[in-house]
Amino acid sequence: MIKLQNIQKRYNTKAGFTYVLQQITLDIAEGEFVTLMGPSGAGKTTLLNIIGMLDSDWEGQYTLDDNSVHTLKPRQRLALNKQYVGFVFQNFNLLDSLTVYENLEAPLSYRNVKGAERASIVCDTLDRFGIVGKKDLFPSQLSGGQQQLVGVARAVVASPKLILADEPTGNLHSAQGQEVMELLTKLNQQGTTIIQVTHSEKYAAYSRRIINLKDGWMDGEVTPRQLPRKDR
Amino acid sequence: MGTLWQDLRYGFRMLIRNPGFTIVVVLVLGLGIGATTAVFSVANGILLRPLPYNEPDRLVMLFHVSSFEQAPTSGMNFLDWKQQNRSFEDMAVMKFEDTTYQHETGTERLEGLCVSNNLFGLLGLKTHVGRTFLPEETWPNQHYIILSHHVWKSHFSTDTSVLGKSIKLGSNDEPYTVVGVMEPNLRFLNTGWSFWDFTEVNARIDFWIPVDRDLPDIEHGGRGALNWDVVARLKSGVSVEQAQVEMDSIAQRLGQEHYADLTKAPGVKVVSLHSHLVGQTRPLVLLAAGAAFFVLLIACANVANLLLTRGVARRREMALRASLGAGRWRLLCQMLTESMLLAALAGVFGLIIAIGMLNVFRMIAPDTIPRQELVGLDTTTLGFAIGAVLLTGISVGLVPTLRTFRVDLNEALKAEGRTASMGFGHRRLVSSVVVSEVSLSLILLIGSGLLINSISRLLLIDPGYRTKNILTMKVQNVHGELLNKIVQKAESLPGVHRAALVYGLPLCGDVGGSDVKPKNGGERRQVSARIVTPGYFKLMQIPLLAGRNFADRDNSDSVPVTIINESMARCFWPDKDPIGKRFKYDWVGREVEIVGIVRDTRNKAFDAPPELEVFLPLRQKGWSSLRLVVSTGSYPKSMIKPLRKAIWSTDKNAVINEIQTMEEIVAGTLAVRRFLTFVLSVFSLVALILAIFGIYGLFAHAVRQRTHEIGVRMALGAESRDVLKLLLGQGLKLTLIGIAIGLGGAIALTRVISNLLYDVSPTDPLTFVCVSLLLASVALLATYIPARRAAQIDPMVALRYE
Repeated sequence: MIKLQNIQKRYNTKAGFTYVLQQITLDIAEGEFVTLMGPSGAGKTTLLNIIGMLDSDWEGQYTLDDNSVHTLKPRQRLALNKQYVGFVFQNFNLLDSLTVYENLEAPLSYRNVKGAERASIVCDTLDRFGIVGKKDLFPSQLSGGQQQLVGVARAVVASPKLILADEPTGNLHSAQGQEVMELLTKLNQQGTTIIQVTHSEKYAAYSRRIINLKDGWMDGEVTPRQLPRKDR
Repeated sequence: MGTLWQDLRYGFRMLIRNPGFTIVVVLVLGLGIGATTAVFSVANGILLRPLPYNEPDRLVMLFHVSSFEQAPTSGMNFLDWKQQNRSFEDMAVMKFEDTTYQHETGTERLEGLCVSNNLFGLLGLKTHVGRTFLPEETWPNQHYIILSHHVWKSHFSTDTSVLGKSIKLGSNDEPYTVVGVMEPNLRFLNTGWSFWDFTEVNARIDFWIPVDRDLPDIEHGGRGALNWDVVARLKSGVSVEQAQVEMDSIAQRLGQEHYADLTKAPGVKVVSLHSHLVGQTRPLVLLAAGAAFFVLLIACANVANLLLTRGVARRREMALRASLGAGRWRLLCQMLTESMLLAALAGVFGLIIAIGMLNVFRMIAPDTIPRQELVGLDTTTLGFAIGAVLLTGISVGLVPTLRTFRVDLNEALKAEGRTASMGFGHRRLVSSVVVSEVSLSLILLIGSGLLINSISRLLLIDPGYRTKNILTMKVQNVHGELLNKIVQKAESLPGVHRAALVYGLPLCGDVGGSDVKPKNGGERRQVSARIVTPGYFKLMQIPLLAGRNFADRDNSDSVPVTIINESMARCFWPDKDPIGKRFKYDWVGREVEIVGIVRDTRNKAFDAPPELEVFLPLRQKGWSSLRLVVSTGSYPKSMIKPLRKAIWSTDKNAVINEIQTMEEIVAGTLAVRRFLTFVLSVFSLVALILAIFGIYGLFAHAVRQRTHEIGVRMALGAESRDVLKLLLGQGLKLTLIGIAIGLGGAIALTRVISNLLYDVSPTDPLTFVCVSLLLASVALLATYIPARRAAQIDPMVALRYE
C-alpha cells in the first residue's frame, strides 16, 4: 500500500543543509499495524506527516497504492489525503468551539458528504465508540481519555484506509492509553492500516512491525517479540 | 508611592520595548482624544460660556409671531409690550443702520445700530470714555452718536477731544455729536441678517445712534412694519415661561384691539438671549460632538483590543508574577499604570491634533456660526482633555486586565495547552468589538451620506434665476439720476452684457416688505418687496409671465406700479387676472397697480419655498443702498476694476463693497451645511479607517490565535477554500450583525439631522443601502487579507503552532 524510496527531507540553514530524514526506504502493506519509534528529533512525526501528505517539501519517491505521490501537485495530494488518511494527535486537537457531534462531522463536511448521510455516519460512529451521551458536550467538558476517544472516532469517521496516530497515548494515563490502543487494534483487525508514533515500547507491542529511526536514518526494524520483556 | 514609581518605571520600559505597539496605540487613541477635545472646545466656546453681559441669564428677546413667520416687531407693538408687561425689568429696541462717513482719504461705509437709550444699561455695558445717551437726546431730530473703539482709534487716533464735537455722516453730511466711545473688543448684538437668522454677538458695530423717543412716528407702516428687535431683562425671580404666559395674554389683548381683521392675531415669543444666539448652532455642535464621541469609542475599542491581544501574550508573565506572590490588586495596578501611561502619551498627541483641528475650524467655519472667536484651548478644555485621558486610560486598560485574571494561572504557566483554538470568552469579546466598530462606523457614514445626498440635491435646485457669470457689488451713497447713469455706464463696458440695480438681491438678506390685506377680506399676509431697475428681470433670466416690464415712464410722477410673483398672484387673485389690480402696500405708504407677473424664484434661501413678493421700480421707490448686478460673458471678476472706475467716474463719493459673484453668494448660503457635511465626513472617514484597521487587526489576531486550529482542520481534510470560507463567513456574519445594529441606530439617530436635510428622508433607503454595501465590502476586504493568509498556511507549520 505504501512504498517509500529514498525519502529525504532537509532544511537549508546558514551552516548548510540540515537533514531531518535521510534515505528512508520502506514498504507497508495494506492492513498492517506499524510503529515508528526513536528518540526525540529522530524524524518520526516528520515521516508520519510525509506519509499523511501534510508535508510536501521532501525528495524521493512515495507511492500510495497506485498513486505516485511525488509527482502529484499539492492540491492532488490533499485530495488523496482526504481519500485515504485519518489523523490521531497526541494533543487530541479537538476543535473546542465545536461539540463532540460537530467535531465528528467536520471531516465529513470537508469531503462534501451530504447532510443526511453525514448525520447517519456520525450517529453510527458515536454509537460504535459508545459516546452517544457525550455528543452535545464540548471538548473542555471531557476527560483526556474521552477526548482521545473522540479524536480516534473523528479519525475513522470518514472511513480512511490509513490511520496515522502521532503519540496517541502521550497525554493519557495507562488505563486510558490501553483503551485507545485496544481501539486502534480493533480498527486494524477490521482492515484499517495503522501507523503510529510512540515512545512507549509497551504500546509499540500492539503493532506487528516496529521501525526505529535515529537522526533521520532508519535504524533497523524489529517485531514486538524482539522488544525487551520489561516494557511489554 | 515607591510601588507607583516602580510601576511607572516598568510601564515606561514596556512601552519603549514595544515601540510599534506604543506608536499605534498613541496614534489611534490620540486621534480619538484629539477629535473629542477639539469638538468640546467648540461646544465650550459657542454653547457653554456665558454671554458677555451683566446677569446674562435674565436677558431675553421678544419676537412677533404671525401665522407664517417669527420676526422683529413694529415700534407700536413694542411700546404696548413695554407699557403693559410686569415680567420685565426693562425692555429696549434696536435696528440695523448703515451710513457713510467721508474722511480725508475717501468715503467709508459704517455699520451701526439705532438703539433705545436704555439698551446699554439693560445689557450692563459702559462706555470707555464719555457716556451713553440721555433721555433728552432721543427727541426727534436730535443727532447724537456713540463710536466704537475701533472707529475712534482708526479715525480719531483715540483723541478724547472728539467728545462733544460733531462728525458728518451720510450723503447729506448730517452732523452727529459724539457723546461716548464704547469699550475695546466689545462683543455687541447685531441684528444684521444672515442665513441662519442669528443675532450675532461677534459682529462689527461701528456706531450707535439713539432712536427717536416717539418710535411709531418715524415709521410708515404702523403695526405692519416689523423692523425692531426687542431685548428685555426679566425681573429677578421671573422665568422665561412665566414671561411667555404674560406676553401671550398681552398679545391676545392687542389682537382684539388692533388685529381684529385677522383670523389669527399675531403672538409674542419670548426666547432667552443665549438660546436665541446659539440655539440654531446647538444641534450642529452636538452632532459634531456625537460624531467625535463615536470616533473616540472606536479608537478605545481598537486600543482595548490591542491591549487584550497583548494581555493574552503576557498571560505567562502575569502567572509568573502571581506565582511569585503578586496579588490581583498589585497586578491590576501594574496593568492600569501601563494603560494610563499610554493614554497620557495619547493625550499629548491628542492635544496637538486638537490644536490642528481648531486651526482648521477657524479657517473653514462659516461666519454665520456665532461666537467662534471664543473657541480655543483654555483651562476648561484642558480639564476636559485630562478627564478624557483618565477615562480612556481606565476603560481601555480595565477589560483586558480583568480578562487576563480570568485565565487559569497553572494552565498559563504550561508551555502549551490542549486546545486547538482560542477560548469562547475571548472570541466573544473580539466578536463584540468587531460588531460595535461596524455599527458605530455605519451610523456615522449614514449621517454623512445623508448630508452629502442633501447637499447634492440642493446644488441641483433651479432657483429660478441665473447664477452663472454674474457679478454683484453693493453701491451706496449715490442718489437720483446718477444711479441710472451708473447702470448705463456699466452696460457700455466691453465684456458686460447687461446691468441693473437691485435692493433685495436673492440670498443676500436685503429685503423690505409689510403686510397686505386682500380686498376680498382674506387674511393679511406678509409680502416681501424688492426694488429693481427695468433691466433686472432680463439680466437674471426671470421670465415675465404676464403684463409688462418696468419702463422709464414709471417714475415719481406716474401711478405707483408693481410687478408681482406667481405666488402672490395665486394667493390674492386665484381666479382672476391681477394685471391692472391695485392694493394698499404699507411699505410704500400707498396703493400700487400691478403691471406684470414674474415667475417665482427662491430668494430667501435655496431650500425655502418662494415667498409672496412684489418688485417696485427704483424710479418710484428711491433707495440708497443698492447692489449693482452685471452679467458678463466670461470670468465675472475681471470686470471689478472697470466697474469701480465707471461708478467712481459717475459719483466720486460712491461707496462700493461686498463684491461677490452670484455663485459665491449661493455657495455662502450653503456654507453651514457644507461645513457640517465636511466635519461629519471627516469624522466618518476617520471612523471608517479606524474601524477597518481595527477589524483587520482583530481578524489578523484571531487568525493567529486559530493557526493551530486551522492546521487541525487541514489535517482533517479542509482545503484552502474551506478555511477561507470559514473565516470569511465568520467575518461576514459579524459584519452583518454590526450592520443590522448600526441600521437600527442610524434610524434612531438620523432624526436629529432631519432639519438639515433637503429633499432627503432621514431614513433614505438608497443612502442606507449604499452605505451598508460600502461598509460590508470594505469590512470583508479587511477580513479577507488575514483569512487568505491563513488559508495559505502550511498545515505542518500550523500544527506545530502554539
